[in-house]
Amino acid sequence: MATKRSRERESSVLQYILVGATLAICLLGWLVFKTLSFDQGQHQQRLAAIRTVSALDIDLNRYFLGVLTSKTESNAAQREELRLALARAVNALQEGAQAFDGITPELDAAMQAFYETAGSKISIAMEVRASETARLQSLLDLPTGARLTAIEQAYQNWTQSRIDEANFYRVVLVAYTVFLMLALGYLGYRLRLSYDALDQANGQLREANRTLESQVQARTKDLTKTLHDLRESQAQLIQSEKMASLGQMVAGVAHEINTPLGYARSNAEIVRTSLSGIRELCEAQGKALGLLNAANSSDEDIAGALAQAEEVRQAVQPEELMGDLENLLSDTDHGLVQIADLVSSLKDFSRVDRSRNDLFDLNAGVDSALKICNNQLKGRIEVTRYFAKLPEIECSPSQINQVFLNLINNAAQAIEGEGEIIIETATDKNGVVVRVKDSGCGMSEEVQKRIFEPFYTTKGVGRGTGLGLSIVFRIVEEHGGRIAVESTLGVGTTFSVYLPLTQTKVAA
Amino acid sequence: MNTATKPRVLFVDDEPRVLTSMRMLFRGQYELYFAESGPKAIELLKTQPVDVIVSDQRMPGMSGFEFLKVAREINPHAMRILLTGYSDLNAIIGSVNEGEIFRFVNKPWANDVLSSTVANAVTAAKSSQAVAQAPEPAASVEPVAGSDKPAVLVLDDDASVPPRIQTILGGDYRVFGARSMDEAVERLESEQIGVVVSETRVQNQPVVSLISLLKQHQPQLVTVILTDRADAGAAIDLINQGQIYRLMTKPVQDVTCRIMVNSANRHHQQLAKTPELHQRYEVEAPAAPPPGAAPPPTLKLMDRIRSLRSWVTGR
Repeated sequence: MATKRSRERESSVLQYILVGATLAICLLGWLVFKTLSFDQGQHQQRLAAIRTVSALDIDLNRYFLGVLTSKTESNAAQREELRLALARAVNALQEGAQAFDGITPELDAAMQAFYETAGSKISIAMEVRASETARLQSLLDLPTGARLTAIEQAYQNWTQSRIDEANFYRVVLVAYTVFLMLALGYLGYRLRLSYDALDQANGQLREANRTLESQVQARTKDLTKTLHDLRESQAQLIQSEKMASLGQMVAGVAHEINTPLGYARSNAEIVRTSLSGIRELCEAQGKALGLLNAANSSDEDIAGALAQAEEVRQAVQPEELMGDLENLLSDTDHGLVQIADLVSSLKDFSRVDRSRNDLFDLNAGVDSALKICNNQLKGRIEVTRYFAKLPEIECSPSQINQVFLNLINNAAQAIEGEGEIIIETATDKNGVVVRVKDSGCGMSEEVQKRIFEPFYTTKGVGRGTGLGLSIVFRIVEEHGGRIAVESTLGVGTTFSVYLPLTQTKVAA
Repeated sequence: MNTATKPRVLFVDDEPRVLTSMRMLFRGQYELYFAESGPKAIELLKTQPVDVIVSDQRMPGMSGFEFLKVAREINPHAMRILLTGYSDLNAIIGSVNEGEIFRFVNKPWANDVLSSTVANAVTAAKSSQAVAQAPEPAASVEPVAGSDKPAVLVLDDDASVPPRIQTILGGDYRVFGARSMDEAVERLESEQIGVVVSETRVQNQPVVSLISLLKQHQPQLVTVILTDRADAGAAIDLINQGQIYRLMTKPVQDVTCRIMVNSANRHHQQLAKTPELHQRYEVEAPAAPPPGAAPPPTLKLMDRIRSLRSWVTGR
């Protein structure tokens, strides 16, 4: 784009330069023509014509003066000579007239005056006789000489003006030449500068070419470092998100464990305190039984012991107490089983006892995730599971469990108040699919587009980091699977996780 | 024992086995009521007055402190105890400021601790009900006659906090600053302080034992905690052992601070007027220091606090 524009500019500049140079050469030619316009040959010819006419005029005057002074009639030969001289004079006049015609008005006027004078002189000269002294005198008196001088003067004036003009143009030509030389010099200087700049640019280009590789290397190094830093901070963020969700999970799990632990402990204490009453009863009954069995015991002693035993029995109410204690102990049992279950789910969930890439039944993963977040669901959300019989797939069970936990947590958080979550598993053409469907608030299309972006969250400040689904996305992607979302505002959302049966590449 | 005179205790927990255990533990001692959720308990409270409410914190639908907040509006005289398996800080702050709870009890609980806590709560409830039923004392009697404005003591390492509080409270209060517990005790001796605004730690020592001692010996003193180092454990100790009245987190918010100190001051005046109410804010004895540990600085303050008490009671 820039190159094209600069090329256009260059071509227009070139056009200007060409036009300018043509004009300058035309001007130069015109000036040279102006200095050369004075024709020296013609000038000499004209001067010669004036001199010829002047010489003829002087000869004529001398002849007529001779006639006038000698008073002799000319002989025929002389007359013939005169006639020839007059003819020459007329010819010379005609030539002179041709040579001088139309040069300047002043010269024209002088010529006109001379023609008239010379015309009368010639016409008189043709007819005049020696006797006609007066006419001879008048002939001699005709100022042809003065007229010729005037012509010469006028011609000289004109010539001078032409020479002056030529001189002026010569000076102009010199000035113009100097100007052209200067312009040429300037252009040369500019050209030199351009060449210098070009040389410099070429040098820089060469230098740049030489250093380009090292620069590229340095940049690549910088970029690699930046990428590494980014990866590291991303890993840190993911770690902190994991810690945050771990915190939530711990809160839930701690409550889940502490509640059964609470009543189990309380029940055990109640049982222990109740034992003292039972012991008392046993002792009283034992004593009565001993007295009954003893041969030497009196009836009164036996009756007293029995009455006491009965009194203790009334106080303790063993039938009722035994029922209560049995209930308490079965509650305690139940609580302990619950705790054991939870601990076992925690172990299943974290999969700390399994290798990274393992064959894993996703149904079991969904179940353990459900147990972990039971605290969020119970009493509020009805969970329905439609599990197909799934082939075990190759995956990292702890990461896949994290995916299920995040999806179930999101589903639970999307539901305000009571609702329903449906979890469906099925085989797909290349693997398995797990769908988590909630009856929650749903998402707009804009929100759906962005949910997998890191830090994007619709939850309030402090409620979500916006990393949960981006972690889900990353884990699924690393397993060579994909995740899809369908959602309708106010109706609910379905996340579908597709996972392949085997891993083509090792999960990072 | 006549049923009508038995104290009434309401237990709220979403786990019915907890309720069974409570029934076994307290049967015969109290008239027992049970509810498996906050809303059911609220329904019950609307028709049945009780003396003590023991509620679980983490329940589906309505959390324990949300329930206690409503319960306090329905039945302000009942003492409220929160039974928690795991509490986040916000829940604790909410339960102090809005639920005005008497004690936190952690799950799993020890039966003797729970029993004595409930027993204390029952005593406190009975005494405050007696006050409520007694005719209103003449309002004209001002126990703090002689000092024109109520006094607030601000205990904080940060010297900028007391002037800030004075600015927020304006001219209605006299605000005194203290940067150590010794300074605080001196100030308590020289001035008639009604409200203490304190950080949780001063000079790297927890203030909970000082506040606990102060509350034991000068029950009408009302404490508001203003902290930037809130943690759940410390907050529970402050409630159980210090009977703190309110808990605020830094940065100080003007409106909240003014409302809380005003409310604390009204509370102080009410306590000063009716000593029977003191039991309602009775504190739990702080845990004995582990043997071999250096005695906390507050121990040497005991004598001075005793003298302070005699000074207060001498009036």
